[in-house]
Amino acid sequence: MLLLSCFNKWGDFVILYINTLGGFDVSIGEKTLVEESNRSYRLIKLLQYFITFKNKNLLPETIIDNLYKDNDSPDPKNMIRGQIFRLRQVIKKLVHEGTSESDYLNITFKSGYYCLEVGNKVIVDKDEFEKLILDGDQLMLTDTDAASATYSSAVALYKGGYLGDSQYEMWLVPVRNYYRRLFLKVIFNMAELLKEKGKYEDIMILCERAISIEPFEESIHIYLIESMLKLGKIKNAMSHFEYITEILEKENGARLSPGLKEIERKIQHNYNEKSNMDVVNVKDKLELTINDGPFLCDAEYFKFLYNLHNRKRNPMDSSDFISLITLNPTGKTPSANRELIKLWSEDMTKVLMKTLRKGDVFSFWNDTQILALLPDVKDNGTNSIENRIYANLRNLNQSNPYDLKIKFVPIESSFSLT
Amino acid sequence: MEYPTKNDFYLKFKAITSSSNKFLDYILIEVSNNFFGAVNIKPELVIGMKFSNLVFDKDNNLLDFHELQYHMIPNSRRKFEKYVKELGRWYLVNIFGDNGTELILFYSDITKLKNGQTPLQNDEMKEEEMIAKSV
Repeated sequence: MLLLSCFNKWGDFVILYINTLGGFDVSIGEKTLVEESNRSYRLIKLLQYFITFKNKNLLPETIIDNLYKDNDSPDPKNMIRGQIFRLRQVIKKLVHEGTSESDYLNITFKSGYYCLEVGNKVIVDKDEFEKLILDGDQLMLTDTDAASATYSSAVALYKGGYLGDSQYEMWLVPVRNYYRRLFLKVIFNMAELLKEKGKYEDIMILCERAISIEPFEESIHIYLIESMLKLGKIKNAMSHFEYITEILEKENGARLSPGLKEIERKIQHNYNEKSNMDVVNVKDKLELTINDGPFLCDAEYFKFLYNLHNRKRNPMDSSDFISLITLNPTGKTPSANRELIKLWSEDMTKVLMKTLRKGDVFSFWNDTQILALLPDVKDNGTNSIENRIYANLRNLNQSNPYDLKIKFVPIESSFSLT
Repeated sequence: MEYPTKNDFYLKFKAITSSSNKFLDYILIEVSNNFFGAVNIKPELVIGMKFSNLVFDKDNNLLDFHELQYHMIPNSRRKFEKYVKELGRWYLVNIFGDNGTELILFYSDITKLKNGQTPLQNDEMKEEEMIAKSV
């Protein structure tokens, strides 16, 4: 039906197609507006603005504010009038002679407002994109296969940021954010649908396409790595994890987010599980991690180990302790002294590695606090641990510039780390 | 002539910029004290959210940011009339992004003006007037 109405009685293609997602073009059959306008940057920018706010009343002042702020024309309103006149000519040339402007693009001026009226022979890809997503959302409730197919069509339409990513204009930012968020929403909905059906290969294909458009969206990488793990591609998952953590660290300047830490744990778990098939391999790996001292880990893993230990331990046993070591508890040392904090963490790592026992676990909770899990501390052993820490610290750093407080708390079953 | 301000409220945003100082988005940092009373949305549910996420927040979408989002850019000043169906009130929405880094969205209740009532025709005002006369 749509195909028939795309041609007039002389066989000319009559639908004007406006492409906005991933680039910009206005075309009808073989003809494109970029050619008709002789690539006039200003005219194209004005048309892009009108298409973004199509069917909306626009004040000339707002258009000037957004598009011509740096222009020093003495009469900017008159300048806009001239630009719009030229734009109308270009649009006229593009559509077939004798056709009504109201079927295509018609710029009107009423009661002090400009408005681009879009006729019924125009298709704008962003509208199609939004409609497909709305349809998909509706279908999610009744027919997940149809929802998935509809979402796929939407994903196929999104070829990149609104009007292409190379162009930076302030007024474009919220529009771009909006379509980007819509795209991500579809990707996540589709990934969840595919996950429910166990179609991990399809999730990988989906994520690879999404990453080519949104390379820094962490959640897509997490879906991809999870799917790799489900398909047993552990080495691929590991190398992708390494690659993406490096990229995101460079981009955002941040270390692992909770989401990535979780996926790192899943990779480790899968790796160990697979390796169990080969006893010799397990032995090799265990030997690699053999260590006579305590175990140093990050705060997230410390929480996990603590809570695991708490679940396993006998509730009547009162010989397990948590120790909190705080730098500068009295506030004498300036907390903003990054050099001192760096030196302190290096020294404390050395001291605790030497002082604590095999089976103890410690972690840097934040810049100035360390938590240690000390199981099975007998007969006033906390005093001796405290004394050893101070003694080893003095041996290591004679000047001992640190103001420290060491506190021991017996572990109680009701206390969990969150 | 003074108008009641009980249902007026504001939201304050701070711009997020890239390392090259390009505007990326806004983050909601503050709402007026009467925000909950005026719109029945708990401030703690929305403060700290990026504006682009607020647009998609179905649970707290009373103010329909979808329509306003395209004007939420630094240094912009816009004014719109808006009917908030759920509250049964007309608002004059002022987008005031004066200094580039912060932006205020001010909702001013104009229901009575839209309904063609002057403040003196307002029942509350009449009541207050009567009380004042009786004292």
